[in-house]
Amino acid sequence: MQAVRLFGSAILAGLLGTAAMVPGAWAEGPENPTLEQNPGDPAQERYWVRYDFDAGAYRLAGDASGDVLTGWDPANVPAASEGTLICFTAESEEFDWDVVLVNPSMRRAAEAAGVELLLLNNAYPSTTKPLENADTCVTRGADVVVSFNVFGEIAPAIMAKYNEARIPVIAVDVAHPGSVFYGADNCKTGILAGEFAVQWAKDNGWPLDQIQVVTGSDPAVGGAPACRNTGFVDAIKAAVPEIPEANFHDVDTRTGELGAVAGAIAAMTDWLTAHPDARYIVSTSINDDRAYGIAQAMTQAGRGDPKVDGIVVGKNAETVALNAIRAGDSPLVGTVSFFGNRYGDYLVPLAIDVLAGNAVPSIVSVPHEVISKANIDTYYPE
Amino acid sequence: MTSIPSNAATTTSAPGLLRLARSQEGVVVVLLVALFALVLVFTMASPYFLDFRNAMNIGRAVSIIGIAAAFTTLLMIAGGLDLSIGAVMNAAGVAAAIALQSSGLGVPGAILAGLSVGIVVGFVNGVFVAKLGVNPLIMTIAMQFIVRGLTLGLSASASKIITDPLFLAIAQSYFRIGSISIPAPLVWMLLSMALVWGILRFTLFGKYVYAIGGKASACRRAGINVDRHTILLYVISATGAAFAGIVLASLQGAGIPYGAGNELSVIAAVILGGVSLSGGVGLIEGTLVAVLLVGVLKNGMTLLGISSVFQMVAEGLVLATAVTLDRLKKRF
Repeated sequence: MQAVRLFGSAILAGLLGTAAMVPGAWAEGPENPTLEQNPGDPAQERYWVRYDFDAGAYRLAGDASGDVLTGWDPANVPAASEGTLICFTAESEEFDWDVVLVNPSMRRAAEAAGVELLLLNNAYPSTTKPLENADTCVTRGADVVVSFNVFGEIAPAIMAKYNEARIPVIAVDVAHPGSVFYGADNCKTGILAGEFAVQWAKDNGWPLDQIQVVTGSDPAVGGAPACRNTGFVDAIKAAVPEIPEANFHDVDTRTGELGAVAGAIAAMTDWLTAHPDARYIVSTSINDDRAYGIAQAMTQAGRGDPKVDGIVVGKNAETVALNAIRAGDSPLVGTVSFFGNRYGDYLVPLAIDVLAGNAVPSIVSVPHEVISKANIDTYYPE
Repeated sequence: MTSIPSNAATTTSAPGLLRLARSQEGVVVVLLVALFALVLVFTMASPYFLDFRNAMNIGRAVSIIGIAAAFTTLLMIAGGLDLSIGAVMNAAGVAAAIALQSSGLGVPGAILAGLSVGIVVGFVNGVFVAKLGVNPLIMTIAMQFIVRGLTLGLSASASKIITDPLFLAIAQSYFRIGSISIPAPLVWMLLSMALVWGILRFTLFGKYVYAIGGKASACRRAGINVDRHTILLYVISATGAAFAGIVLASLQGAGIPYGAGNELSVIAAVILGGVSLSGGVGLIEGTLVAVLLVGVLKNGMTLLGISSVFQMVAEGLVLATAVTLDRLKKRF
């Protein structure tokens, strides 16, 4: 068996040429803390780092001072050099989160900073387009890349291209090995939603041990967003340990041909049919589209009174959720926002600071807030 | 001795250019002209387009679709259709990654595991279509669901990370000719196209492919085992998709069980290349130029900063124009 394996490998090696075996020049070393970091881990150390253009890698910035959690301020970033090109590989040009919130904020911030922004569409859920876009960024001679690729598994292949070209990278929402991280914490998002749901139940006098916890999952979107649901469950279990295990349910809200909302409506309708007596439902999903679908199913089943039947807490603060919360006639009573409409205000200065050779935090977290009827006008005035 | 229908659509009464335009070769010429026109336009419009590295980017970007399209061309010339190829690509990548992690057979074992997915799926598709007479559209859609479900289930919806440098080299390395570095996926695509070209041009099986697509009943009367060839064509198409999936897994550095299906892009490229949905007509050269045409169109528009929303519209318009011209040329 070993002989077969070695023989086959030798043939392949011969075909491909031994000089071509190394996928990319990985500049790494123990002094680069961005190679292995988990922004979702509360125990994750954060460091000041600086991009070394000769090495093609971030390095610890030992000379930097100040609190790495609060010391970086986008207002203190120097002016961009003339002709600076930021390549932004956007998550999509299709979904509300990107089209309405993140992408316009990047364009607006780039214009304000006087830098050129090359926006390329990663076309989520494509797993090949982000790789093609990396090639385009390199070919276009980008000075710095902001990579909004949500598939962590292809991040090493993407980073190999940028490392070889010695282009610094800022990864958005999903960590890329060897890049500065900016963005949301999926697990924290889930925890905040869970805490909000428990508080709602208490405020409305629900019998806590009778709460039904329903998460709308999608096994086809990868691992990172799953924490938005597991965090929700973990927070509820921690706050109300007396809820029996049988009261925790997961429904498959996978996007079908009719889209995410329709998929969630169908899945939740089935669940409600199978649980005709279920009350005190607290539900969430990985994003607002699916959360809205779950809320629609509850309403259509005549079980959508948020005071007695149940509630849904979404994620992303997309238009559909904000409208429902503002109207107040839906079980969708909250959504966790990490302010995608402000991403550009941080990412563009961060990119400029990296290019200027200044020290920046290895992880820049964004604020998270549950948006409800009580505070929607503060954060999202009409 | 069996009589094989000609693979060249000829019209004896039409003179010169008109005859060329109506022929299969004419489609390739028209596509080539369109390709060169696009190259010219993008060269003038963007200083970044006419660049060797960018050309290689285009080649790498179209290679996965191109590999699958090469083998699907064979099937579609024979009048078949396979909508399960996108699912097979994902499944093959995952199977290869799992085999790499657990079989102990190394890269050859991983490649074998990936290709096996295609062989099995293609065989089942072929048997149901050829022997049981199930409509290929319905059968392969059903198979798409089955394969997707099994892939997600068996992988627990989790990607399988690949770190083996030899496996990664399948798609992340370069073939070097002097000072020129050609991305490996582009080479695999060109080799796939060349293989299919050789089959269609020089083998009896290639002639049968056109014959079966032209009139299967006549082939049966002529003693050709149509069912066996049909099954073989489904196996070849799915195995080609599996090979594309292996290259894709290497390119991504992971076997990913989810993501967008590529079957419609593959089939669109084959149709754009001049293969008739009803079979019997088409050239692999057309598929190659069509794949490049779409790649150049997308790349050029991206370099010009044109929104991907309009890129989708443009792709649709190109395909619609191609099939409309194909219909019109048959009228005149």
